[in-house]
Order: sequence, then structure tokens, then C-alpha cells
Amino acid sequence: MDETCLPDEEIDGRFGKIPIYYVKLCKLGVVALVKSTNIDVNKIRVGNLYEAKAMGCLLSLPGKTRMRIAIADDDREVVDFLGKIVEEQGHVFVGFADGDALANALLRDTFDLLILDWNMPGKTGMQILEWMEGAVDDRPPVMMMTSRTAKQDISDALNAGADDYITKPEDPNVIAARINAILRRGNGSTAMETTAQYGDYILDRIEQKVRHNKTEVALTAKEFELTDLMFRNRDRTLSRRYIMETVWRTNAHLATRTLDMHVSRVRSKLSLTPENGFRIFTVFGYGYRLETLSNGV
Amino acid sequence: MKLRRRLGIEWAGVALAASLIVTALINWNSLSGFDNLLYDQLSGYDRPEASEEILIVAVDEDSLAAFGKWPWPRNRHANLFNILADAKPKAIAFDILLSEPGRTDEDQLMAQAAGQNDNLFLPLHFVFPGSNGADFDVKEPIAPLKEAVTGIGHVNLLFDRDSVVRRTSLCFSGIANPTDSAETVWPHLMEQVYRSVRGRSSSAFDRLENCEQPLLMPYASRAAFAQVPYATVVNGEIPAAFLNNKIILIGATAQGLGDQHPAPLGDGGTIAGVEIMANMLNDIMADNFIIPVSTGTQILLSLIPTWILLIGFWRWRPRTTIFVSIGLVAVILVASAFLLSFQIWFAPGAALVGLGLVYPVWGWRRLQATSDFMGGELKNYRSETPDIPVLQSSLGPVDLVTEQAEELAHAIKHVRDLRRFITDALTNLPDPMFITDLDGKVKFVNKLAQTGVEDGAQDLALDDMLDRFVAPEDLGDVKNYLALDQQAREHDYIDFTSLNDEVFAMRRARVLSNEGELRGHIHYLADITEVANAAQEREEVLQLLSHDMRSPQAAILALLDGQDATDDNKRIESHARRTLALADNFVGLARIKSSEFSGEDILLSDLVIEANDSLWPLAKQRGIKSTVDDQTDGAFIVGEPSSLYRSFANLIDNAIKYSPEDSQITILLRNISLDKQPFVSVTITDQGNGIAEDMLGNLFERFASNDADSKGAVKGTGLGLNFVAAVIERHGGTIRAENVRESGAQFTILLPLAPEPADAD
Repeated sequence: MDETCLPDEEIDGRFGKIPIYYVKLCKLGVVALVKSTNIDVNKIRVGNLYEAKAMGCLLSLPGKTRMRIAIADDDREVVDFLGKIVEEQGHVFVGFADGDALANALLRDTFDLLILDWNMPGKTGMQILEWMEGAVDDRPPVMMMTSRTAKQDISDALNAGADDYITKPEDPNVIAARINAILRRGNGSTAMETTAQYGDYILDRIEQKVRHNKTEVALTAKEFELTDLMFRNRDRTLSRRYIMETVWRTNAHLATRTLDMHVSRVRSKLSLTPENGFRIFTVFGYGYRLETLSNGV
Repeated sequence: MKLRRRLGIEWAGVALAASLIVTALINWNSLSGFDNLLYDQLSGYDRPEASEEILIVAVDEDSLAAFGKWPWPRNRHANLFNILADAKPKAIAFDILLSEPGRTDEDQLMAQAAGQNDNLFLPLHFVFPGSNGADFDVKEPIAPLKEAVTGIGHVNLLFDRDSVVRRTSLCFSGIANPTDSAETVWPHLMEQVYRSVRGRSSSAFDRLENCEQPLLMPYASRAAFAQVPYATVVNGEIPAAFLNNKIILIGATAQGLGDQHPAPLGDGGTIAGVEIMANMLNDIMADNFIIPVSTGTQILLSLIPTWILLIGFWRWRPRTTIFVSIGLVAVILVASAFLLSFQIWFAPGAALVGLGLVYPVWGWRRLQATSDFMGGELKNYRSETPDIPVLQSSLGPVDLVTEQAEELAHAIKHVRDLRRFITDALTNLPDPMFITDLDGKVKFVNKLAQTGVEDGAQDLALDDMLDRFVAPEDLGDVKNYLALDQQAREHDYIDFTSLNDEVFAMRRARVLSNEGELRGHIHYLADITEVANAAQEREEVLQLLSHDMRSPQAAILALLDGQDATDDNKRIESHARRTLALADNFVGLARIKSSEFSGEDILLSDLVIEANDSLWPLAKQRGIKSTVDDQTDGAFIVGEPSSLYRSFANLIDNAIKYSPEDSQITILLRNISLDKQPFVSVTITDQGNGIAEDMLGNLFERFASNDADSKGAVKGTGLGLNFVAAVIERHGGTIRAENVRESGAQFTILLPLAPEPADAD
């Protein structure tokens, strides 16, 4: 249970040292909580949190709400459209019409999230991704925005380091949920609780049970872990590899059908359908995403 | 290979035969005629000096004239012995046989006179065969004489096959009396004389291994020895001082007396026995006998030149061999003469015969074998190449080998023509090609491949050729392709761009010999620049449709989002979405036709559920309930997820469009078995009005659309069902559309199940 609270390590970020406390939770792996006692929370960028994530820790920070988001698309309509969504979520945005302008800005300015169009004058979204590998130290998370629908293009972008992608055209609610999912990644306003509620679903992490509309759904241990993982990362595209390493805790090549079948069972046992406000979406060649449908909840 | 073996056998045969013949010739001394002739000739060049010590007292014609006919009374010999005893010569050898008794008083007188001399020697001789079964009889001088003289020695001559006296033996050994087992040795008369003069046996005698070992006598020139007639000595015309200290040989020289023998003096004439004795004594004193090599050595030496030639046959050209054979003949003769100057006689006849034999016989056998082989090969060639015209010889009968040679030339010309024809054909091939050998050397380049390479490609290494031809970015791929195991990938090919920006597809084929041995590779380049350009253009069109045309539609939808949901706005949105769907389907169709199928494991139920989920907002708007009933428990298929997903979305989208509001759409997944093959069937049933009867037949054709419906509100994309049918067919499945009586349209899709993975756990 949540007994240990000792500062084991510190993260040396751009804004000073951040102490980390490990909180061991039953069967859920290691969760790191960052206590922001000495630092201005608003100065912590998501990029800093990435360092913690890279150490295999999930971070929890007291609410940092306002984010700076860069949106790059040669189509002004799209920039405005996205900007409106972002602002509705309480964030601020800077729009760029081409890749080169964005690249120049990235060298001088800091952003919490980049939304990149695939095809842009100057540097394309993919080129920006590649360029940032060498040129920018703490690169912010990237959301690719593309008219391309081919499976290969999407998995290429994700495998190249994009954190998520959106296919144009997409529903504004979905876009908002996806942006929040990315930002939530480090900025989890909900700390790991013993129980959590997502829509009509209540997860009991101690008993490893899920209640849906007051009925209890029986799940196996792995199915529960998978469910928990997907709910915690709802609206975020998870790679198969990530899921396998987190749930099965193995790097070894797991028979691909095993994961397919688990996802299928979770989907049918929990009735994760649009009527219930959720749908599981397969990103072929990459992984899965649990989407929340606001209009269904 | 066949010819080699045959020649090997022939060669061995020739070698064996030649060796046997040479051996036999030596063993049976068959070439003595030639060898003796040569010996006589050679020995004539270096005749020994006659010793002045030797004096012949000859019973010559003058003496016969003085004393009357032979035989003379023996008191005359007694007379001579008396005179000689007074003159005190060194030794006297009386080479006249006295083995039968004469008149007793005369014999007595002669024995008495002989006794006056203290160094008088008499001859004995042997008669073959002997009486009473003995090998020979010994005829000694009569007893009184034998007792009176100092010694006796044998005077038997050794005649060669041509009756010429060339050899001698310094002694004779044998068993004279059959009852006596011990061998007796009789030294030669001259050896006896030498011993008495020098007081020891001669060096030549000491060197003898046995008495049978022959020695060749070099002869001094004719009449080289001092000679006085018998009569003059008896008549006292010769002063005693002249006789003093001489070795006196007494013998008959007159022609009528019969003691005349052919001698190798080069004039073909005869020589008196006593002169032969003189020569022999001269040789003993000078120790210049010539020793013939032993038979074994003779065989060995004679075989050497033959074998040199035999081995040379393998290495040398015929012209060389003939020079070498002539050279070897000279060497043999020179060696023979050279050895003779060292008093060793090597008879060269057999060696020369060996050489003379082996050269033409090998020539004959070789020609025969080659001719047979050539005949066989020509026959093969003619049977394999039926179009070669038969050579008509107009010059009448010619020898077989000439004929074969002409035919061969004819065949070679034919091959050359063929080669030229092929080379021309290859050179002028409409596509570039080149041939490499096993070492990766470029052996042949046709015109078009040549133009791609600046300095010419002949004999370049393959890698260099590629460096000059292939664009650097494709070089690695091309080299990888060439490194592949060709047997496995005979029909594979690789595309690359050349330095001149042309696009080629390269294929590599193996060049094999008749026996199936790998000889090299043909590299065939097909210029696919136009095809590649067309593909590039099509790709650009698809890019335009999939991205550039989608983007503005997405922008329209984004713009509309903020607007009020007026009827116009809804219609604009509907048209924008329709354009998007049209582009997607078109691109999807084009991609299906232009790309290879590459499937992965897909859980079909989840794919269908997700397609259904994606259309939930649309269904909900119209109060339609669309449910998936999965009865498969995990039906995996091998498929392309994007196109399948799009197909099911199209079908469900259609079903929603054509369903009345607040109706039901049922999607049922089941496992079924068809011809014992496992399939999964997906049935999509709506409660609409069904499909118009006249549409059922061509529903899945391009631009067939059920949009002429009375409701007017819903419109198909036109390409949707066409796309679906293409996708299902691509997955090895079938699709069927029908109307169900109690409800509306029903689409049934059958897709083959994926095989169970081997590592399923």
C-alpha cells in the first residue's frame, strides 16, 4: 500500500532539482509523485516531466492549468479551428503557417505541446520531428495532424516519435480530448487513487474490479490491468509494445493475438461502446486508443 | 576428357612396346651389324701405336718359295729355335699348332732346340664340342715339346657374328674332363708372353671378373708391326742384334696357309692370326682394351632417350619433338664416341632404334586417336546441329584425316557464323545487357549497355561497371541483389536508377555449360523509365487526391463547425463529406490495383465493431440501432486492416443511409465451413426497402449507385460498393447482396480464416 514516502532521487531539470517520492501501490508498478514544494509550478514544462517518465515513473503534479501550445498548419482555417478548441480548454496558442517559422520559434521559445501538420511549406511535420531530435534539448510532446489516412503513414509518424496523431477532419470534442490526454500525461490532476471513476465505470484498484452501472464486471488480473492502463491513458494512443511491457511486464515478443484477444474481451465484457461513452480504436500497425465520447456521457 | 584418356592409353602402349623392343634388341644382340660397323668406323679414328718391341717372324709367300710347300719338316723349326736362342730375344711365341706328332726324330730335334730357349711359348687350342660328351677337347702341343718349352697358352679367337675378330679373352676357363669337377683356367698365349717379359700378370687380366668377359681390341694400322720372313731368319740374313730383346711372334701370314681372319681395319680385308696376336700383345702392354658396357647398363642407357622423347610428347609441340629426336640421335652418337675415347663401348643401335620407333608410332597412334575423337565430335556436332550443311568434297577421294580436318574447319566456320549471329543479335538487343564470368569480369557488353559506361565496359570488374552505371543511392541495393543466391531467385529482379536518370529493372540469369556447370551470369536490364515515370505520375495523382484534395474539404468542415446548424450548412457539410469519401474510395481502389497484397493477423470481430462504432453518431442521429453479434470467439483473418475497415464502414454506412429512422441493423459474425475450409461470415441486415431488383445484378460495379431512391436525402458515393467488392476479392473472400423478405437488404461477406499461428499460447 502507499506507505513509503522517501525522496529516493532527484530530477535535475531546467528549473532546478525536483525531488521524487516513490509510492508503491499494490500490483500497479512504481508511481512517482513530484512534490512541488520549492518551485513555481507554472514554470514546469511538460518536457521536464518527460524526464521522469523516461525513468519509468508516472508523475503527478498539482494542477498546472494553462499551457502554451504551438499550432503549425499552412491552412489558416485549420489553425483557427484548432486554436479555438485549445482556448476553450483554457490554454493559449501560437499559430505558424510553415515549418521553418516554427523551427525558428522552437529555438527561442518554449511550448508545452506542438500540433503539427504533416504537409507544410518549409519543413514538413515529419522533418520537424527529425530536426528536433538533434536541435532541441527538451522537446515538447507532438501531436501530428494529417489528411493522410493510410495506415502506414500513421504508424510511421508515431514510430518517428510523435506522441499522437489526429486525422483530418475530426470532431472538435475528440480533438479536445486527445489534446488533454497528451497534456494530462505528466500533469495528472488525478493522483493514483485506490478507486477511480471514468464515466459510468468505477475501477477498484485494490479489489481489481470494475463496476459499470452498479453491476460488477468480473475481470482477470491482466484484463483489469489492461482496463486500468487504457482508462488512465484514455484518448491517448498507446503502442502495443508499451501495453505489453506495462501489463505483461515483458519485452519478449508476445504472441500478437494474445493482446488482440484481451482487448476484445475487455471491450465486450465492459461494453465499451459509444452508447456508454467509450470506444476502443485500433491503430493498425501501432496500437490502441480508448476514446471518450463526450456526447455519449 | 575422352580424348585424353584414349591418348593416355595409346601413350602407355607405345612406351611399353618401345621399351620391350629396345630390351629385346639388346638382349638378342640383333643390331650387332650396325653397332659393329659404327664401332669399326669410330675405332679407326684412334689407332694405337705399334710397339717396337714386337717382331713378327712370318711364314710368308717368300719363305714358302724358299723352303717349299707347307707343312715344313719340324727340324726346320728346330733350326729357327736354335738361331733365336743365340739371338736372345725377350720372348718367343710360336703361333703354329703342333698338336699332332710328326716324325719322331724331327720332333725330338725340335724339342731339343726349343729347350735352348728359356722363354719360348707354344699355343694350345680347344675343339668344340669335345669328344665323349665333354664340352670341349684341349689340344696341347705334343708331349716332348710341351715339356721343353717355358709355357703354353691358348690361341682361340672370338669371332663376331660377321666373323670379324674384334674381341678377345685373356683366358679361357672350363671343365676339360667331365670326371674332374674343378675348372681349369688357361691364360692366353699373349698373356703368358707378357708375364714372362714383365714378370707379372697384366693389369687388364687383373681387372677381369671372369674369363668370359670380352674385351675389345683396338687394332694398330695394317702392317704396323715389324715383320721379317721366316726364311731370312733361318738363312741367317737377319743379324742377331736385330732379334735381340724383341718379343718374337712366329706365325703364318701367307694367304694359302689359311690362318687369315677378317679384322676391323676399315678396309674390309683379312689379317693373319699372328698379326692379331701382335695387336693383342700390343694392347696388353699398353693396357688399352675397350670394355663394352654390361647388358643391363646398355638397356638402361638405351631407354633414356626414348623415355625423354615419350615424356616430351606430352609437353612439346610436334615440331619441337622432331628437333628433339634429331638432337637425341646426335647426342647418342656423340656420347658413344665420347665413351669410346675412355675405352668404354656403348652400342648405340638399340637406343637409335628406340627413338626411331617411338616417334613415328606415337605420331601414328596420336593421329589415329585424334582422328577418331574428331570424327566422334563432328558426328555429335552434326547431330546436335542439324542445320549444318554436309561438306561436299569435289576433289575426289582424299585421305580421311584431311577430310576430317576440312569438316572441322567447316564446323568451326559454322560455329563462328553462329557466334557472330548471336553476338550481333545480343549487341543490337533493344535493352542493355552484359555478361560476366565467374570472377565477376564483364565478358560481353551489348551496344546499349556500352553507351551507359563511359570508357567501355569490356573486361571491367562487375563492381566497377556498376559504379559507372548505377546511381550511388541505389548501388547498395543492386550489389545486395547480385550477392543473393541466384538459384533461389532466378526470376527476381531489382529496380534501380542509372547515372543518366533512367530507371532499369535488372535481372540476372545463370549461364550454364552443356554439363550444367556454372560459367557466368547474364545481366539483363529492362528500361522501365517510362513505366516508372507513369507510376510516379499515378502516385502523384493519388497524393493529390489523398492529401491535397482532402485538405480543403477538412478546412470546409472546420469552418462549418463554428456556424449555426442551418439547413444550408448541413448540406454543405454533407457534400464536403461526400467528396472526402469519394476521394478515399478512389484512392483505396487505385492502391488496391497497384500494390501487392500484404496482410497481417486481424481479429475480424473487433474490426467490424470498430467500423460500426465509428458510424454510431450517424446512426444515433436517425435513431437507428446498429449492433454487432459476434458468435465467432476470436476469428482471425489475414488482411489489410485499412481497406477492410473502410469496406465494412462503407457497408454499414450504406445500411444506415437506406434504413428508415428508428430501425434495426444487425451485423452477425459466424464461423462457417465451406468445402472443409474454415471461413468467417459477416451478415449485415437492415430493415430498409431493399435493393432495386434491376440493381442487384451490377451493384458492385463502378458508379452503380442506389441513390435514385425516392427519399432523395441519402446518396451513395458511387465508388463505395465497387471498392468493397475489390477489397473482399483481394482477401480471397466473396460478397453477396440480396433482399430479405421480412426486412431489407442483406450483404453477406465470406472471408477465409487465418491459419493458427504455430507459436500460439
